[in-house]
Amino acid sequence: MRSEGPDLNIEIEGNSETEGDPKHESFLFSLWRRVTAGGRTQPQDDEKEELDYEPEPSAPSEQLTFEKSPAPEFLTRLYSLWQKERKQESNRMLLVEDLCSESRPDLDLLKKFVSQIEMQARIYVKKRENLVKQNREMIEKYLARLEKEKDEASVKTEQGTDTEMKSVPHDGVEISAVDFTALEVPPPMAGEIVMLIAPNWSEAWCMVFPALSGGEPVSLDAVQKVLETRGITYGLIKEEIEKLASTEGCFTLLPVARGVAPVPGVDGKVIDRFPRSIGSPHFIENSQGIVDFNNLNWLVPIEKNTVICEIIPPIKGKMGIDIRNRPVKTREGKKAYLPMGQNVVLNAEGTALQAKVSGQISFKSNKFQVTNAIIIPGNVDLSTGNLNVRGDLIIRGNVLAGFTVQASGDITIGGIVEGAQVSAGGSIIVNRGMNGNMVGNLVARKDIHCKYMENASVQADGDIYMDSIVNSEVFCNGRIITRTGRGVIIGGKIVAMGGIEAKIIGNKTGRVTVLSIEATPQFLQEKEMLEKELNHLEHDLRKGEIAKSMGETALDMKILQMKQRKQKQRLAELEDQEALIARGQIIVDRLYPIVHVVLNGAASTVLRQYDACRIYFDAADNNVKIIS
Amino acid sequence: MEKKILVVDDSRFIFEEMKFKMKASEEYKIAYYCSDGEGLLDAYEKYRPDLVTVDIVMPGIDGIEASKRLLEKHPEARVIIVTSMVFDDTMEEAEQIGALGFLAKPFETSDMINIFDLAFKKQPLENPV
Repeated sequence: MRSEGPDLNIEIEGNSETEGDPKHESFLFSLWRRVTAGGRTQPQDDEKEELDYEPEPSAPSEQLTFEKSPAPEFLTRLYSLWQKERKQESNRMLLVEDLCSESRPDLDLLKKFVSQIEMQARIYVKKRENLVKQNREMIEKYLARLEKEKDEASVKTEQGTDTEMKSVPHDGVEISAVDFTALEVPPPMAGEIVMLIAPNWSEAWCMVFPALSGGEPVSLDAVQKVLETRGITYGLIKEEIEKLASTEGCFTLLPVARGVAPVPGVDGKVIDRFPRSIGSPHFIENSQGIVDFNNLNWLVPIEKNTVICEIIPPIKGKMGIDIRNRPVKTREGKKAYLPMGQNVVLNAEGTALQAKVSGQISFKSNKFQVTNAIIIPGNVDLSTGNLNVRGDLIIRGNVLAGFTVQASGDITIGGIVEGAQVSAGGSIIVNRGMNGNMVGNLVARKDIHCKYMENASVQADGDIYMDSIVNSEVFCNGRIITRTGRGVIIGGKIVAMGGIEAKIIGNKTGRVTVLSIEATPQFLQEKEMLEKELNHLEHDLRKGEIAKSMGETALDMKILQMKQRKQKQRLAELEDQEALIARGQIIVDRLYPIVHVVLNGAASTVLRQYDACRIYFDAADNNVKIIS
Repeated sequence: MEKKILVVDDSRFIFEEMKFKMKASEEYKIAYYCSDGEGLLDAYEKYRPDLVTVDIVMPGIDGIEASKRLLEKHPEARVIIVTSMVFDDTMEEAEQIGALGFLAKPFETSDMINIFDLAFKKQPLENPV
């Protein structure tokens, strides 16, 4: 039994005999050729010949997308049978995509489904083929029996028996038989529902194989019963289910139920406000491509409470519902790893990492860290560049000439300071001493401890402690004490507001040393600035009072008043300190000439040696007095 | 013949000053500069200078102590102390260890040359204290 496909003009009705037949095997390949040739156009005559009889040796099927690959063989056979029964011609069922409805399962699922459909179609077709075969055997047996009966009848006729016979055409043979046309039609086959369920029960799809040879078609009840049997109760798609029970629903993969997909959570993340390269020296070229080795830009200061990273919290996932009406777990968003190192804290809202203290920020061991004591294990030189540090700074080596070191806290130097600039918001300690080579400079808002000081200039708001001070310019708001080691002050200019103590001042060569107990330039500058600011504040407050009287907000006023209180307090401190100048004195075990002394504005020159002497300002005489 | 001088002083400024002032004399030339007392002995043994000038106040061991160690090992060394610490005790200490001169900072070129000349006229102490 052969039939021609509607547009392929090739034999597609299958039977067991066609399997393994090269002509039959060429079927899928011919389909593939058709597709790759650019569509489902009617092939030319010469193509038909080639398609039917000369299969190509191999087909690079990987060039096709799955949807565009040929439809499964048994499904196509089944479809062809159906069309033939309906006496319709159609170009459908050439490709996998032809069996899909508009909403198609995703590709992986589609592959699985197509494989299952093909398996079901194979069973269905085989079943039919068996039925056809049985039918044919029955007919043949019947025909054989008729043939036999005919022969017997003819013998009987010859013998004079008269039997009424009917002529039945069969395979070109006129056979007289009873009416067996009903036997020519294959036995009826009921329609079949193929149900396909996604492994995670997220969706269910159905395909209906049509009833053949007048079998019972698939009814809506049947579909619903199948769904019920499988326990599919959620997300039923009524329109599609109804479509399954109609003719147009046959051979089309239709979604019948769809659950609610879980929404996975979103992982939290960290948005850095500082690059993770900070904390190690790096070179920056200027526009001429020149690197400033003095400024290696690796110490990044940070103020307390500065945001280091923003933290984006994770978003919770949303549970789904499967087609059995069961909850579907989802992946929860994970919290981001917080690069929280030393002195880095999470803010109260949990939205940012902040600096716990003012200091230097660095990124080490996968964490941001804020250290308020930076340690330089060696020298301050070209390997470190200039340093500007928030917090304390510890330098184990030397500070080489030409470099600048600044810290908001204390600076401790294990070695020596050459002709360098060192400035601290706190105290400065120099373990091995300083020879400033006439350019070196120490500035401290608190005390300075230095083994010795030579050819340098020094400013300290606190006290100064040294073994010796030689040929240096020293300005100290507190006291200068050189009582340890050799305890000498030789040459230079020494200004202290709180007094000077030394073992020896001057030397035997008559080197001139200038000693003053008076306000230092930095003290006068601070006082002057404070007075100016206070004047401005008072002016602003007067303006504020007027504004307040006109009903404006008093918030700024409070801030100004607070600032004014603080500055008045500081000014009072400075004034107290200034008042002590009059009581400042110089105490020395041995004083060598020549020493110029200025006490409370009164000057005197010491031209002879004194032992164990005290130099002070005598308010009664308004003059400098030396007692020994 | 040109005499080689080893300058030991933490102040590079002093070294430059001495170098400049030595140009006035064709007799003396700086062989090496050393910024602390610890390096004195090694520098002496390496450069074998004819004269060593040593500051007193330096990082680490002071010039008196460094000179003492040098002279203990090399009594033939000619050492001059160059310092601002011009006191009786420092001068006595210098003399005791065997230094051949004591030059007070700041100094004039002539003072420096004179003290160098004088040091070469003296014999180093055979048994310095």
